[in-house]
Amino acid sequence: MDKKIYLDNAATTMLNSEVLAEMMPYFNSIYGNASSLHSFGRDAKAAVDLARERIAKGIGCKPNEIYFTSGATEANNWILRGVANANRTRGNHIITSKIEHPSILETCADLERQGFKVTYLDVDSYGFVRIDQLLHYLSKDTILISIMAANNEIGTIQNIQAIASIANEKGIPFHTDATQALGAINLNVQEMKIDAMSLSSHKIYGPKGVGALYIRSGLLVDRFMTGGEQESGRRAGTVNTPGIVGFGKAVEICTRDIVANSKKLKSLRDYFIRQVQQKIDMVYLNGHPVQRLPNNASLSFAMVEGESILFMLDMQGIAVSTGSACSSGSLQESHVLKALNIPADLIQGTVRFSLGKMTTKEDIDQTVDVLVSVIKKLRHISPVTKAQVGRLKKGDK
Amino acid sequence: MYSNKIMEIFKSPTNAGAMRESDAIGTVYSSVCSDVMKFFIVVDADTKVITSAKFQVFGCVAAFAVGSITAKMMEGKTVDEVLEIQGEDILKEVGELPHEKVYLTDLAKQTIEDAIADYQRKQARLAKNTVE
Repeated sequence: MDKKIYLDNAATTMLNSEVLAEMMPYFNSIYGNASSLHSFGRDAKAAVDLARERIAKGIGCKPNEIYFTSGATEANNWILRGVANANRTRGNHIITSKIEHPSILETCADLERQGFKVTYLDVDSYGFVRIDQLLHYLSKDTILISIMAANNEIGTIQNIQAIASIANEKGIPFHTDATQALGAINLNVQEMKIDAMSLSSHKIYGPKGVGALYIRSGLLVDRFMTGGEQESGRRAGTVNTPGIVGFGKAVEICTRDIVANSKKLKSLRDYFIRQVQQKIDMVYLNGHPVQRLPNNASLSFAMVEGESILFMLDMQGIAVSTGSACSSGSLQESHVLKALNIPADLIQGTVRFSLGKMTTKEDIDQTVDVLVSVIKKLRHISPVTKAQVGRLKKGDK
Repeated sequence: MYSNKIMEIFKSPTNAGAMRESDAIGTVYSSVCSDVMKFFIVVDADTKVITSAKFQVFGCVAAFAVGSITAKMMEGKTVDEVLEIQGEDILKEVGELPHEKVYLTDLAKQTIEDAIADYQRKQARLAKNTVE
């Protein structure tokens, strides 16, 4: 077997060695609690403050508007629950989209059970949120609009500025889950009129288990965790100093290198898509062809099933993820691909390839070669005919 | 997620692929997910024993394993005997299966039934033509 190839960078990334080097002293040398008053604590606090400054600089906000969390899932939970609970007397309506991450969708469902009303906006065939529906559903009871900056499955980058402007004009807080967008597109919360933003470290070559929520000063949001004065008393719990240090460094690096990285990834990604579509017939790209994350190629292979592709690639040392739900322990189809009205059998045949900084042209060439043989093998064992593609329905005879 | 046995079968399934000349074909589209299972069988005209069975699957790794094992189980049994195969029998042969994938054994059972129904239809047509 040739060297292993990792094309699942949308799931997580390898820790950058520069980031790791910066984190190391905070495990066993500068190990104080950042809340302690002595020098051990003060040294840790200085590192946390520096990380906060780096992240603030990276997204164009003030350092005291950054709150560290355990990741973007927590940040998403916090903003939804925090805004909902703090604004109960103002209104009870939240607007989001059908293609958000489960940490948004499941939290919204939870809020619905608590009596809040949630509108889930449709998307068009590229995955763009329907702005006409947003305008239609806005009401005097709307207390929050939450739309992800870029989709994790199909890579489509939303027209965030347009959505934020609408929210701003109406005086409604706008939150965006920028987990996938950070480091891929420029994010300036001031220029883009974003009131709150969720961020994750491990998608940008930082450590796992750390993220942040940007909350614009003055935005009414309830605190998330009680039990301490950390994070201005809004998110209790001893801060994860090494993680935060790594996150800060990762943001500094990814915002510094954003242009060069995006250019390289886009070029490799487009080469990959071209090669696949030239060498394999009946392969369809999901999401928008241009306005998409530079590293994302979500492809639906007709007549074959995604999980089988995933495991056959895995056997050859290539790591990807599937758009079908079979491997996630649930039989539900991907809610994102479903929202795009992709036929069920093509949803089943969807694989997400997400490139990373370490991906080389040789990796891509090898992947394409393996993919060609895998698809050929699976199609040989597939009972689905070309004529049936896009038409298969559950329980058909 | 999957047992070593399932992964081994997935790596090198037996009885896989379409059959050019078969006596009957069964195809069932799952009502649970979008999986499709298909069996091809060759039946000895005198003994009614299935001498050869192959499968095709549009589905996950578990569906491959179930298809492969079921096709193998059919070989050597008579048409009546394969109708006796239950989902639990297939599950026993497969071994460990994630609970959300157990429906695949029923899908395989239904596909056997579809193949045998096809065989019986063809036999009836043949008998009618012979009489005429």
